[in-house]
Amino acid sequence: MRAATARAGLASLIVLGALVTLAAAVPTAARAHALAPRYDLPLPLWHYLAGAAASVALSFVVVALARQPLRPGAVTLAVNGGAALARALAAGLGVLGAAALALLLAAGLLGPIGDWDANLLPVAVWVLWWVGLAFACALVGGLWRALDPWQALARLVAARSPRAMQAAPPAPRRRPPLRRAFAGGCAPAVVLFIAFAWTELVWGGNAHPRALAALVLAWSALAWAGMALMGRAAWRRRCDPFDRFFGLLGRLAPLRLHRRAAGWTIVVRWPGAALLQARLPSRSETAFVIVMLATVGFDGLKETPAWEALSAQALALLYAAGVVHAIGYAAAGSLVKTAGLLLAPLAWAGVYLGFCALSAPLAGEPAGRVARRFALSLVPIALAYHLAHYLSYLLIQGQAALPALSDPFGLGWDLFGTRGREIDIGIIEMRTVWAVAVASIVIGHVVAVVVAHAEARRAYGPRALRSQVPMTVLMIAYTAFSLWILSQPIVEAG
Amino acid sequence: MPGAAIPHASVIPTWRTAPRRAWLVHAWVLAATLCIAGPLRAQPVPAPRLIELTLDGERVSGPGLVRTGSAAPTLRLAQGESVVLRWSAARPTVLHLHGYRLAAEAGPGKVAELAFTARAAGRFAVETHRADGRHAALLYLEVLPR
Repeated sequence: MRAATARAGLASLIVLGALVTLAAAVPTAARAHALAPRYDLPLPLWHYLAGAAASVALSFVVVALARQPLRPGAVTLAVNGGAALARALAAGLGVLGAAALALLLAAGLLGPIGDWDANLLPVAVWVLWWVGLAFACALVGGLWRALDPWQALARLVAARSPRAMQAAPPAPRRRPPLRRAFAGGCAPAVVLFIAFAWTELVWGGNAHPRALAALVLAWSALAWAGMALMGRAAWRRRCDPFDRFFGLLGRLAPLRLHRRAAGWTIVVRWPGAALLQARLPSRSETAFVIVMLATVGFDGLKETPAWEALSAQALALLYAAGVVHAIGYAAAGSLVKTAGLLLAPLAWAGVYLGFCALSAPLAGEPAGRVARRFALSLVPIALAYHLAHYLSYLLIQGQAALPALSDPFGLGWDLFGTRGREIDIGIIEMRTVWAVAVASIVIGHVVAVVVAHAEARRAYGPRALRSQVPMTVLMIAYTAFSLWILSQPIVEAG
Repeated sequence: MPGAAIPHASVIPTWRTAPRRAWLVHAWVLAATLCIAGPLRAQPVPAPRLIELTLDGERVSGPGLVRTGSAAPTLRLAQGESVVLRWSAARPTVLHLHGYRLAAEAGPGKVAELAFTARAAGRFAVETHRADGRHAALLYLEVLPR
């Protein structure tokens, strides 16, 4: 049986290799304009100053009020009897996810090729799923876990077969071969998240329907091979970057639905309250949060004039070294961006660990443990920045899904009467964008400071206030940095 | 129901019975009419502002361009303004205005015009295609909200 599993795994890896080669072979040189541009104006100076001042002032208010240990209340409704409905809903969401995956793959493989918005697949992946679903998951916890098409299809296989795709294989004799190798933290998820961020921010073919479809197929092969080899639950816990990313955002959600045997539980809670109920994150889980913040931050940073100047200097260096001559300008530009993407998590981790080291003697705890303790409290700042950065993008470029949905395969259909509909770039007022950006960043900051203080009070007792001085300074600096990026004019560095 | 058919004339407020309410209604109707008719009144259409831009390679020069730290300069417009960007270039250059989705081609003896009303605020790149297929931003248009 073990040999069969290994054979299946080997076959999956061969398929994966072939697909990655296919993805790399799709001509992408002429498509430097990968993703849709953002049209936001730089945040005006007084918005920037008001946001920064408000975050400093509110930090002091939180510190002054945080005399009592914080116990955020939650309303829990246990609904008994709706078990059949809950089961149907869960199954329905899984079917919905799987159907969407099938439709998007078909559109990517068969549909039209043209501008980035000609095909449903790039629009759905980069705008609706990566940006839109992130916001949805921050409102309703556990949404992605219910929709996840790869897990849903694996569950379907597991229900039909006694051995394949089980959550955790029962007998130790049949323990999947890779399970022990990855039995520690979520390091594979960190690596896969960086690889995914590379395809989003650097890869020139990410808006090409065929190339993106090949990538999705490669990911499917990898995910199912992983689930077959180590079990569904271990794959999700250790390797799946999307479950972890959407799950972390889901901890901010004010609403969460749990399915139980006898029905379901509806939890209504303060946004961010679930960040306080987590156990202490492991080292790799802390690294995942840092990588998530750094890649989202680098996404904004790479559109600033400062990065444009830096990358021009790096390109000049590469030119002098003869690298540009050897591989061409486009590849050299990607190389510089790749270096930035890899350096960003190191820079973020360095700054974060530095502040944790300052906090450590005040807290009476080693710096590494301080870093693990407060990693989750940075998640609200990341979500707030994500919202400020991407709200208008979602509302404007997301409209491209309407015409693409009416004719996903380029056959001249008009299923929903939205064929040929143009994008309305004035759908949201710029003043509204600015107001939402500043408000969300300040609110995210306050939630972060409250969560960090509550955690410090629980862990350190009377030493909490002193120990939180470096962390609060870091959060104010991080919020000011987010506002600074938004106040920069967007440029498209070649 | 014999009584129901009788028109309830006595309930209708008259100038005498309910002058204040009637005035309010009339004022409301008048205000609503003005609100609807106001924007519909024929307004003198201002002639679009002509902005002459010259391309030397990928460097743009022209009146009112500002530098914001980027290689490509920025041209600021007010939301609602009608403009014509007239480009002259020494060598053939394809121009794309993103967002507004306009394209034109300038070159020797050929002046390109991008004419539009800046109805939506935002920051939009004017780009060109290089020989190697890459796009390069020549100019950024910032349409500022009024």
